[in-house]
Amino acid sequence: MLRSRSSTRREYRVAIAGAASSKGWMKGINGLFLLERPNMNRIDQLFEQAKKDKRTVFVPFLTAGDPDINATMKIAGDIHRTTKELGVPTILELGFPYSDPMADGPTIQSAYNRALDGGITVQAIFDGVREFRKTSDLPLVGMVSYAIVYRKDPTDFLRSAKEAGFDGVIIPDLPVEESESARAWGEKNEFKLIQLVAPTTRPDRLPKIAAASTGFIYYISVAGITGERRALPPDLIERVKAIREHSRVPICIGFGVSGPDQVKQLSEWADGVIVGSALVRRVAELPSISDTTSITDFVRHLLEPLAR
Amino acid sequence: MASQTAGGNVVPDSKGRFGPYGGRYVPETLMFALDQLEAEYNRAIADPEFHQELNEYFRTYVGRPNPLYFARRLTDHVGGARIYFKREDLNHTGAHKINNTLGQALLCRRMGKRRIIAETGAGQHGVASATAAALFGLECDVYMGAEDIRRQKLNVFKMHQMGARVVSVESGSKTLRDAINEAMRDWMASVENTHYIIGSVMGPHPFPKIVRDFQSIIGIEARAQCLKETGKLPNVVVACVGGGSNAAGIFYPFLEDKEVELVGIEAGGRGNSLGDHAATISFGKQGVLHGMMTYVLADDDGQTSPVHSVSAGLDYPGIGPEHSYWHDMGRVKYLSAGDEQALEAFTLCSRLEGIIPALETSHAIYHACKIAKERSPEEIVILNMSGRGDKDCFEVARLLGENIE
Repeated sequence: MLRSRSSTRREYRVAIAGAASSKGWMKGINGLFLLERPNMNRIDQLFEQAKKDKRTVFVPFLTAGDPDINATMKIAGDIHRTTKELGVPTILELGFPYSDPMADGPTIQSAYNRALDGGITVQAIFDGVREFRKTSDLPLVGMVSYAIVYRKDPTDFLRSAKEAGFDGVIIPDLPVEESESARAWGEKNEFKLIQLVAPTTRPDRLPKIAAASTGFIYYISVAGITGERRALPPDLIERVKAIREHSRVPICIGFGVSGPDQVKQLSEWADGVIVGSALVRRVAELPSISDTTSITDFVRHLLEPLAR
Repeated sequence: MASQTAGGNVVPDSKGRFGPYGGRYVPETLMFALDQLEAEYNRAIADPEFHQELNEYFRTYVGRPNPLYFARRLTDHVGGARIYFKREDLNHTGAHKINNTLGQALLCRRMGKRRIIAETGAGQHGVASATAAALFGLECDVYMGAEDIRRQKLNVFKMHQMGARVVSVESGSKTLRDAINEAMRDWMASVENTHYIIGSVMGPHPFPKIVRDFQSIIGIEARAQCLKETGKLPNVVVACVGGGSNAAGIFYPFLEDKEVELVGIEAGGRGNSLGDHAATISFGKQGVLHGMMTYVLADDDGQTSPVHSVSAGLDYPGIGPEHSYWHDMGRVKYLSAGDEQALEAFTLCSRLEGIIPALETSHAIYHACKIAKERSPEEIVILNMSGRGDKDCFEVARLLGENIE
C-alpha cells in the first residue's frame, strides 16, 4: 500500500521537477511541493525532527534471522513501540549475517552463525522487511558486508533493499575510496550510504569520508571489534568535535555501549547512540520469542536518560 | 630485490589492483594501518640497508640460496622431462614461509612496533612467524583454528618453544579462514603497537604485493640456477596454491619469460562438490573475502563455502588476487590434485628421492610428474618443493591406518 503510493508520488515529483527545469516560472510550484517532502528519506526526516525537538536518536542493532526473520522483525516492532512510548526517535540497524565478519566481536558473530545455521538468506531478509514495512514507518538501515553486496550485484542489491523498505545501508568493508558507484546510486534514489569513521581515521581522510556520507556518520568510538565495554575512550569528545567540523550529516556513535550512563554521556556529543552487542546478547538469551519483555525492559533502562 | 629485478610488471596499481582484483575491502579501522604499512614498505625497499640486512639473514640464518636439485630417480620413474626441485624445504623451519616472515619482521621493527600477530593453517607460517619473533625479540601471538591445532600438534609445540602464544580459534570452520578473521580483529584493536604478518599473497593491499616481493627470491634463485646448471630456462614451473605465496614467489620472476609455462596446483580434496575441495580458481567466482577482490568459493549470497583438503595449508576458500589476475590473463594455468593423488605423490617422492614432502607440495608433485611424463627428456620441469613433510607425518600415518603417536 505504502509502497505503491510513494512510487506514484515520486513519479509526480519527477514530472514536476522536469517541467521546472524547462520552465523557470514553475520553480515556485516545485519548491512548494518539496515542502511536503513526500519522498524525503525516513532517516533525514527523523533527524530533522529530532533536531527540532532536541532529541538524541536511538539506533538499536539486531541480527536479521536470529533466531528467524519473523522473530527479528517482531522484536524490532516491540522495541519501536517502547521507544515511541518513551518519546525517543529510533532508527533500526539490521545486520545481514555474514560468514566472515571482520569487524564484529564474538556476540554478533555468534548471532550471525546462528542465523546462517538457521538458513537465513538475503531474500528472506528482504521479504521480512517488506512485510514489516506494510505496518511500520521505522527507519531501517542495513549493515551488510560487501562480500554479500558484490555477489548479488551492487546495484541490484541496493535496488532490492530500497524496494523492500530499507532507507539506507552501511557497508563496513567498503571504504570510501571504493564506494563511489554505490553512493551515486544512493543519491539518485534517495537511499543513504552511511560511512564509518574510526578512532584511527587520520585527519586527512575525515573530509573525504564526511563528504561521502549520507544519512549520518557512524563513528566507531573504539578501535577494534564490536562488543560491550564499560568505559568510553577518553579522546572521544575531541574526535567527535573534529568530525563535526567536516560533517553536514548527523553523527551516531557506536561500539561498546552497554548501559544508561554511557547513553547519557554520549547523548551530549552525538546525534544518535548505537547499541548492538548488548541487545543481540539479550535476544540470544530470550526464552521465548512471544515474550520480549526482557528486551523492552532493557531498552527502557538504557534510554532512561533520553526519555521525556 | 624482487620488486626491482622482476621489473616491467606494473601491478598492483596505486589502489592495490591487479586488474579487477585486489584492492582494500576492510573496515575503516584498518585503513590507517594499511596506509602506514604501505608507506613503510615503500621506504624500506628504497633503502639499500634494508636489502642488505634481509639478504644477510637469508644467507646466514635461512640458508639461502637453497639448491635446485635434479630429481634423477623420480625423472627415471616418470620417463619424460627432467624434474628439478627448488629446495625451499631445506630452509630453516622447513618451508618457504620464512622468506616472508623475516622480511615483515624487519618491517615491523622499522615501524617501531613490538608485537607481531599471524594466522596459520598448517602451522608453517605460524612457526616461521614465531621464529622471526624470537630472532628479533618481538612478542608473538599466532591464531590457529582448533581443527588445525589438532592436525598439526608438532608445529604448535615448536611455536610454544620459541615463546609464541598460540590462540585457538573456535569460531566458524575452525580452520585457516577463521584464524585470518581473528587475526584481523586483533589487529583492528592493536594496530598502534602490533604488526600483522599475513602468511600468503592475500588480504588487503599492500599485503599481496609485500608477500609476493619477499617470496620472489625463490624464483629469482631458481631462474638463475636453472640457467647456470642447464644452460636454459625451464619449460614448465609447477607449484601448489592455497593462498598462493610459494607459487607467486617462484612464478613472478618468470612472468616475462613467455616461453616458460607456469602451472599452479590447487587442492581438489575428495570431490567436485562445494565443500569437498579448496580449488578456488577451478570452481570459484569473483567475490570479496578477507579484504580483497579475488576468486572465492562462496554461495549465491556471498557466504563463504566450507572447504576441504587433506593439507591444512591449502584449506582456504580464496586465493591471492594476483593469481586471479594471472588466471584471467592466461599467463598461469591452474589445475587441481585431490587428496588421494597428493598422498600417492607423498609416498612416491619419499621412496624415490628420500625427500618427504609437505602434503601441500605433494599436490604439485603429482602434476609435475604427470606433466613431465608427456614431455621429452630434453625438457625441464621445475617443481617448487615448498616445504618438508615432517609436520604431516602424524596425519598421513593416520590416513594410512598406522598409529605412530
